[in-house]
Amino acid sequence: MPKAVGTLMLRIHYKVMAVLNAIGTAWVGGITLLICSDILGRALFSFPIIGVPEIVKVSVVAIVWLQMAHTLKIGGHLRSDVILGRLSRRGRAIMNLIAYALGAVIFGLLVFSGWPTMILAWEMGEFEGELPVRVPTYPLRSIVLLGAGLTSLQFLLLAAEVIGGMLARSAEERR
Amino acid sequence: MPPATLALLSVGLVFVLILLGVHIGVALAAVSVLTLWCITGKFSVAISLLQTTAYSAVMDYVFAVVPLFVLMGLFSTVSGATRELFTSAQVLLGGVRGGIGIATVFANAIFAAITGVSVASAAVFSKIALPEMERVHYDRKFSLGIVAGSAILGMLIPPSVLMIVYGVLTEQAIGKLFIAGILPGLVVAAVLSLGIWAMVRVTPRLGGNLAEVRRFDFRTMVRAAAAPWAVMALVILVMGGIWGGFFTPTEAGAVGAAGGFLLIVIKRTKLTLRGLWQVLLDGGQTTASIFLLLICAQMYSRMLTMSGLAGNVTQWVSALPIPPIFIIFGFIVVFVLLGCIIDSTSIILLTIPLMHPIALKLGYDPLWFAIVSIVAIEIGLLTPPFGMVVFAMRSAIGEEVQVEEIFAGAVPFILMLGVALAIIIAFPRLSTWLPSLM
Repeated sequence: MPKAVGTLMLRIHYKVMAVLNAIGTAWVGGITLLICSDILGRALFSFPIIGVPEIVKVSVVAIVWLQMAHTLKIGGHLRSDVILGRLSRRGRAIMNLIAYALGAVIFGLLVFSGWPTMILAWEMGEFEGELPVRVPTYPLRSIVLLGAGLTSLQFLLLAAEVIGGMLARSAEERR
Repeated sequence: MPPATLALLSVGLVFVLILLGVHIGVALAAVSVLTLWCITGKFSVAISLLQTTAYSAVMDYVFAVVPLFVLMGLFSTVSGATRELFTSAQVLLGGVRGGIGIATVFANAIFAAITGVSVASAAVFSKIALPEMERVHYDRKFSLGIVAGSAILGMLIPPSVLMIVYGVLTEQAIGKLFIAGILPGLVVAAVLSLGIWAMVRVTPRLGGNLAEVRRFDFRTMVRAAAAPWAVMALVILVMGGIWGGFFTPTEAGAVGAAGGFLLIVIKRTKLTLRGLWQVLLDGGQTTASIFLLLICAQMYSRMLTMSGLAGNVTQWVSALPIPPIFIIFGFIVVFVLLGCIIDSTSIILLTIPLMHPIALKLGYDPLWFAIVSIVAIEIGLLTPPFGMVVFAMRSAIGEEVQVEEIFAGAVPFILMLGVALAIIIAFPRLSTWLPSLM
């Protein structure tokens, strides 16, 4: 049942992207709490929380890349449809194919070029900030690549969808 | 080929790719990598730009403002604060000529202080304000124009996504940009309100039947007018906090997001698990789409700097034998023209890395130039064929309205915004006074 397996994998892929996206926003909620308690601590008990700026700074990277792939899936990334909207179905399919292929390549290259840096970061236990506030950043490197990898995959899936549509239509026309 | 020529070609290529429908971030990244590859001759150097920018370009405390303010906007909208704002303004202004229209502008101005995107305002007010105006028989095009025109305030009155992007590109303090936008935003709101009032005065038919405007007894009036106190308090806390130096913009964002959540609690708005899930996904979408642009725009502006194009253009333009203000006018023409083909964030990404150094070299105040550019670019949101606000309204209203109808309705409002822009250009103090007190 290769087809059923494929559908299942696709559904898992979509679910994973959505969950990562939600984790990203929940993470923003976490930062909100952290910063607010820092402000309250500072104002009421003159007892600020140490390391909040470092944690916030590092979190931004994680949040963004957790949300990147799913945003593509739901059509959130900006593109202009001035010309796209005026094309025939066939023209639109070709332009979409170009756009998706280029996206897959760019995000694929990102993963490719970032891989050695990620391995190195894990090996040496990369961190941000000075003692006593050391925030480990090697997991971040992996989150960036995970997000970019999923985005590249999603671009490929979109491209495959376009090709599938084109094939189905030409088969129909032949009939 | 000298690097600067290559870079110039690449600017053209970005435009072509964007017009072809390539995702804007992808177009910027692809062209940056390609140009860098040509300049350095090393593919590995070129693609390492991707991974270093993806990681280090976003690792900044200031950038947390984006997701935090996005969350604030989402929570406040879910809490129903928008409708309260509108009803309150409507109760207060109901008897005035074009009162519901002016109420829309007022409510938008305050809603703008909790949201950073015009598109959000356009969608929300299409659902809230349009039916009210329809009920008292406002001219249809006129009411569509009011919603479209006042949605512009969303990106003018801080927090504004455009200001954040602008600040990042030009390395200016985002807090100062926010504060600089307050008075010009109020000027735009005032011009729009006066414009609506004047239009209805000249052609009463536009403003429908005043006799049909809902009348309230005194107690309901007071209650409705005072209902949005919590949102108002939140807005004052957040903006006042930045202005007074109590909060960094990031901290203000966190306070705003927490406050937005409190609004939901105070109002006892029903937030189902499903609704919460939707808020989480929506927040992610808005944040990630802005950040993809921010990341890729930094690749692009790094490439422009490395190639020396930015420096060359600055020297060339500032040596032109024409009065500097004409160069600024030229920029505005470029903004408005570009506004006809691409969206406002992309315009900032493509032009500001080149224009900002020129404006500085010509001796203009960077805050003033920032606000002038943002207002001019915002006007592009209303011009066909790529008026994002107009499309957002269309998708919020549905099939029963034609895009052309909204564009037609927006024409007088484009003129009003032009007047507001002229005022902001003529009086730089409007943009620089409040930040100078910080």
